[in-house]
Amino acid sequence: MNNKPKLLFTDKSAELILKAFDKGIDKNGLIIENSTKEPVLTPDGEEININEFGGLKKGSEIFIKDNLYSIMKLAQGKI
Amino acid sequence: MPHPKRHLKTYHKRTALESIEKYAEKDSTTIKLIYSLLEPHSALYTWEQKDKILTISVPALQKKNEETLLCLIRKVHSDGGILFKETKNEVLTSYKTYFEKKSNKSTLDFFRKKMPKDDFDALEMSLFLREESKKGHDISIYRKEIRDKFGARGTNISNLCSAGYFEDEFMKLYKELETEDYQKYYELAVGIRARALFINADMNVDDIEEAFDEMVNKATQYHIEEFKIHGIGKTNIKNILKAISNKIKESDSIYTVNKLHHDKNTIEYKVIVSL
Repeated sequence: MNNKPKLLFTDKSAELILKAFDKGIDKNGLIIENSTKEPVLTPDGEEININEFGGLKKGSEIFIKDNLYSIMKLAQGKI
Repeated sequence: MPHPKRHLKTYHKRTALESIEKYAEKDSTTIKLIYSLLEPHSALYTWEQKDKILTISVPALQKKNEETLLCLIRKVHSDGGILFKETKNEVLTSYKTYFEKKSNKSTLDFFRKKMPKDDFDALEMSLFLREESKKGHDISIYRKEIRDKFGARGTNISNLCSAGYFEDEFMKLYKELETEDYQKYYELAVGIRARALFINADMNVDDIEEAFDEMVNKATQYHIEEFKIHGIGKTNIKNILKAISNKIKESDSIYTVNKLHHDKNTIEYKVIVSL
């Protein structure tokens, strides 16, 4: 049984999640590191637009897109 | 005379922030960050004991103590919990259940090493969507994702999967044919899309007739004796019936058309082409 907490956020609170991890959004809507202004990447090496931001997982910070492919890989433990 | 020792119990009324931190630390808590205000109007949070759901009003708590909120978010992450978009939580939960039940595992295990990786990924998604569709869930957004990620080939895999071709035809043929012949057949069915024509809602009668002619041309070009036509939904069925009726009237046809199945919601034809 998974005893770990889960935090669900809405589109509106997505920016707050990013703020907690010192991430921002650039003029194109891409999620970036505030310190370097470099885009963060998914495990597949893809940049993420704020509109397709699905979530964040530990290890250390794994950014996940909100599409079905990413959701499946997440559930399979492959992300 | 000294007073007898009295056992005094002191009570400390928790603040709202302390309560939020306490509930957040409970096993299996789901924390929801919402942007509307909770009732009563000033409430920072609500706690549902039965389902262990802690709902936090972001505007209310942000105003009072944003750092607490940020710490809470970081703590869920550092404790190994996931932070996830609420609108996608249902499909995540649904897929987890599907995956844990090992649904379609035998089909996936069979095809895992027998098809290109992208095709396999498209099939894996399609098998899940087929189950979701059976439950009556709207899968249109995810079918679009398959199209966006894997193109027309992925859409065809999804259609072939929905119609049962992978289990009913490809599996059987893989066992019967030499590998090279199977691969040729697979590519004709999946890549060239010469095995089945799937009618969608964007196709009118003229489009269907045109697609039908293309299928006949492919059959001639690749020496495929027959193909099938599939339609789901009232409008598609109506358009298919009209288009097939028009095609049958053509005097110089090199094909015969047989209706395999027709009910309220689905229709299926087999077209045999004279090569």
